[in-house]
Amino acid sequence: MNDYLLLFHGGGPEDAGLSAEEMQQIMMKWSRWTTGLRDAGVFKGGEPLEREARTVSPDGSVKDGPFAESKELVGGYVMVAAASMDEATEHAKQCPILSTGGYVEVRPVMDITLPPIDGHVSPCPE
Amino acid sequence: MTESGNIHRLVEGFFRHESGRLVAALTRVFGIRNLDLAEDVVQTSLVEALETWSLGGVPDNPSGWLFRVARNRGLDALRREGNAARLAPDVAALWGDDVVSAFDEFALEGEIPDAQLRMMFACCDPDLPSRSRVALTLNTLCGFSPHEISAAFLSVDEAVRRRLTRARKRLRDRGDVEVPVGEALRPRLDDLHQVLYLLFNEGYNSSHPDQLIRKELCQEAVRLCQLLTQHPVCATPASWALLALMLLHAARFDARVNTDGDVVLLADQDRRRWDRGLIAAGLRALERSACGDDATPYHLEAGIAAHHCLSPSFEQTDWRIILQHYDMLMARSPSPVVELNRAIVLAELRGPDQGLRAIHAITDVDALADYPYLGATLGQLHLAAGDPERARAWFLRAREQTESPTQRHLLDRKLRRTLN
Repeated sequence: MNDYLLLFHGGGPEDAGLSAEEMQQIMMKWSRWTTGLRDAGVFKGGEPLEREARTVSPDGSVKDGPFAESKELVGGYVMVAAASMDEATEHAKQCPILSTGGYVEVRPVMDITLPPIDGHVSPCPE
Repeated sequence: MTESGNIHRLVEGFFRHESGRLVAALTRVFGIRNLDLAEDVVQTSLVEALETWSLGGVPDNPSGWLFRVARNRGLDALRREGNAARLAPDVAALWGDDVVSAFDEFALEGEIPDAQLRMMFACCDPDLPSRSRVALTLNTLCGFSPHEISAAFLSVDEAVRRRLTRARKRLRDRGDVEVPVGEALRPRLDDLHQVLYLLFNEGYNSSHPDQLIRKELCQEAVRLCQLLTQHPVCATPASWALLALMLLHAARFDARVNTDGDVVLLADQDRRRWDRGLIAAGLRALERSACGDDATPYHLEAGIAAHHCLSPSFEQTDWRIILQHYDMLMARSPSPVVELNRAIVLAELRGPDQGLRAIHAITDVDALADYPYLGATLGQLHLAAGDPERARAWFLRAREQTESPTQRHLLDRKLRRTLN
């Protein structure tokens, strides 16, 4: 199993002119999705992100922004455990952001543990 | 991170309910001419809740959370827009530039329920056309979407949208408008009754595909109507009659749906499941409504509901008295829907042919062209009259017109009966 980061781009409700009822429906969809991931034991955390942003440049200058287009903006992330990129992608396909015009970027988290040595059984620690 | 599964803790219609309350509270501070500003602030707050709660989970006190966000966004808006100039005249007179105090004084949580009713009166501005007043109030304070309003008015979404835009613009252009108090409420009471009636009705016969009954809307309507009956100016016979009507219908909630979620028609309902307490409360309200010399449509409809509630079985229903009520309703406020219901009563009393004849005689039958109950009724009467072919055609048409799976289910059951 490896960890995969699902990044949510766009799909924010701000300009869609949704009714209160529709907003609650969307929230229920998210809840069902994350509950499903939890029940499957693959949910490794996730959080929404504030829109506020700052950029620090190599010359040491600090600016507000980037003010990405709202359809590009990363609005949050979820980390899932999956056996393969394909399996992680299947989880992403169920993400409610897709029904509100956003998209999901799936990125494997790099495995930084020591790779096993082929043909060699590691000795048990004393 | 909290467990986001707890979103399911949020009651059905929570956002809708809160948005009505918050718009009312903010409009109290901003004044009715800034209704659009209040709505923007509330919309922003709901979006913030949606974004935060979807992944972060619902906070322990979701109402309080929303209120606080709305309060802060409201203050932001006031600062941005030039403080006192944006306040309601009476609020500005009291607090001047001290918008924070003004805000906390007038928008405190405890004051909201009352404020919601006050704002409903404010939205029912006699300067607007009658339909616009009701539509605007349903939209801003009861959280109705244009689609739900058009279903209630037998109108189309686009027309409702245009109507709402015009109404908002008119209020904005009007300048200072006081929120009515005391005797000034009386001329607006008819509109308020209509709003609450439609609110209850949307709950009782939901225009939403998956829900037949939305109790929370009915409860909200009952609660607000009860507030009317406790108000010295608003406790009119019509207010009591409307309350009676709601309670007597609410008494039949549980018997109206079976365990599979299918609708159970009056004839087939298990009357033991009717809520005796609500029936008694409804009858008491009806008694209170019986003064003065004006039998309003609410009196008549409540009277009909009371007769159903008091009849020991469907077979023992006193259709003669119910028909008299419909005749009076037709004299008092004729509408194609009333005529259709009257035809159903006629059919019970004098047979399906008489019912069919009455339907064909409906003056403005075109208004019912998209109304699924017309097809359902015609199907039922043709079936009873021994004409399964025609019955089938009408049931099929009604089935095409309804979005509700429960209604479709019911029509499917009826369609099967046309084959036997």
